[in-house]
Amino acid sequence: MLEYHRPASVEEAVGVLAGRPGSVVLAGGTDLVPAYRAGRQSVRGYVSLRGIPGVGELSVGADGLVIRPLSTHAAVASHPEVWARWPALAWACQSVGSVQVRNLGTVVGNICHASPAADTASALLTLGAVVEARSLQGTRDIPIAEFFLGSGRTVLQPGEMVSAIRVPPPAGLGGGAYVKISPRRAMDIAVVGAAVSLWLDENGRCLDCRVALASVAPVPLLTGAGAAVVGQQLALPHDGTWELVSGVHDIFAQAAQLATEAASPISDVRASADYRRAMIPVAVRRALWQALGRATPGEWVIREGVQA
Amino acid sequence: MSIEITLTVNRREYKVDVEPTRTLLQVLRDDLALTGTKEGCDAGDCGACTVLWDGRPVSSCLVLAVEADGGHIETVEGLADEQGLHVLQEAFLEHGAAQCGFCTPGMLMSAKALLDNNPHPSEGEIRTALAGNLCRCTGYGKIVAAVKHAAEAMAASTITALAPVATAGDTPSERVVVDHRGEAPEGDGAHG
Ligand SMILES: Cc1cc2nc3c(=O)[nH]c(=O)nc-3n(C[C@H](O)[C@H](O)[C@H](O)COP(=O)(O)OP(=O)(O)OC[C@H]3O[C@@H](n4cnc5c(N)ncnc54)[C@H](O)[C@@H]3O)c2cc1C
Ligand code: FES
Ligand code: FES
Repeated sequence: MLEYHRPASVEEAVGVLAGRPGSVVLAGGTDLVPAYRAGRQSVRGYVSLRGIPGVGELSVGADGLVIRPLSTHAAVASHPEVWARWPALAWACQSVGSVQVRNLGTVVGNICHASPAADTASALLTLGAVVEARSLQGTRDIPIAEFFLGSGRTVLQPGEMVSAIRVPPPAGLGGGAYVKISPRRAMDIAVVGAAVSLWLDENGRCLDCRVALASVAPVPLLTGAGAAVVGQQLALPHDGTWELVSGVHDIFAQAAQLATEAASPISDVRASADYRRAMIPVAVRRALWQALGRATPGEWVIREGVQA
Repeated sequence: MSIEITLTVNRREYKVDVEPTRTLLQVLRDDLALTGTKEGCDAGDCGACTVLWDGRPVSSCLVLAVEADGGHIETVEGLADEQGLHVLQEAFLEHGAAQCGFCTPGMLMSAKALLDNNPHPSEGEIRTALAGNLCRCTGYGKIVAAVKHAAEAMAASTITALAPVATAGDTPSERVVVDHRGEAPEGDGAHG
């Protein structure tokens, strides 16, 4: 007989997880409920989060963004500050499923389910997010790059749950993007997903750039491809407009190449490994251009001979 | 282990004993006999089971009924009232936006949530709002046209008033539409 617990605090929730081994946290249920009903999962009980006050709140401040266990994709994607400061995450949340799924599904559930295709995982990887895990033993911080072990597997221990995801504030003029390649525009998971976050100084030089990929490795993959972009002059400010420097195209092509080399795609029902490998540079280049566009709002001046 | 929950469905309160394995969709159809909400896939993929939970469209096959305890649910049965069909229902009829009709209740609920929050949607916004509702018959064009028409018809006969945002994460520009019957429809995004 399936148990259902509705604790009133995170502390009480981790108590139930410890005392009733085999129980799992139930967040939006969009992964758990269909899996259970299709007989793909046996659990002892669900630990619901709906009795915990404030468990769906998002906080945005000088320290960055705090995502809580019941923060839905819809809540994140309807927050104007998230669009302005962490665009890769906003685009990733907006790309999940449909309105009906985004109103239920949570960002924390998305990373805990640990699908290599998880849209928000790659965005969070580019943003240097920190996963806060809570158990009866206390709280520990896990950099998201160390969170995923394999398809469906994370470093969370039995009795542990995620109590928050913290996303640091932008490190300069920020831009970001999430480009998802899938046969359908909605209700489909990524054949290839590319997340990019990049930050410029006010002179248009790249302070930092990170590129992560979905659906091309056993885990959501933070690549080293940003190294091709960091330190490079990408644009020059001219009273309110930005002049694109020559060479940006080549810099982005090089980053796309590095990202492709980092991936180890497989063939499955959605796509062949070859198709995925061919699409990675396409998705990465698109994401880089979109991110650059968002980091340099206003008009772009493109001189003759510069390839955009 | 059965649990007593309270659901307010189309403004009527129900107390139901449910097993924690049962979905909101099952409870609506089998316990409350509200069979207007359809089961297509039972896996979150088709949108036929769309209902509004505290004003937000969700797939009721993905929600355990116990999770919705204390919540306000709107189903297609709640759209019409003693004065007649809802503007959206009239528009669907006029435009021939239903063929077999299986997707229609879900389409109507998604469209209602859209118009409750955004009385003047663009075609793109309509298509995004309905992207989680599959239709095997109509080709969608007539459905989109019907929603657009309903929005225009409602704009012609409504006063819109700004309402305070109730819940973190709601669209800041969320509005309550006060319709011609002079009452705010449920599902203005406020958590009950
Ligand atoms: C129709 C449909 C379309 C979808 N489309 C997409 C898509 O486009 N992109 C995508 O990435 N995903 C997609 N998904 C998958 C799913 O919606 C997402 O992964 C979602 O974010 C899961 O969140 P949830 O809150 O519903 O998780 P749940 O189902 O509640 O939980 C998922 C897993 O995480 C664990 N968990 C949840 N919260 C915690 C916590 N605080 N601590 C520890 N463990 C926890 C649960 O125990 C469970 O193992 C789709 C699903 C459906 C049904
Ligand atoms: S029956 Fe719920 S989405 Fe298909
Ligand atoms: S009218 Fe038949 S599925 Fe839409």
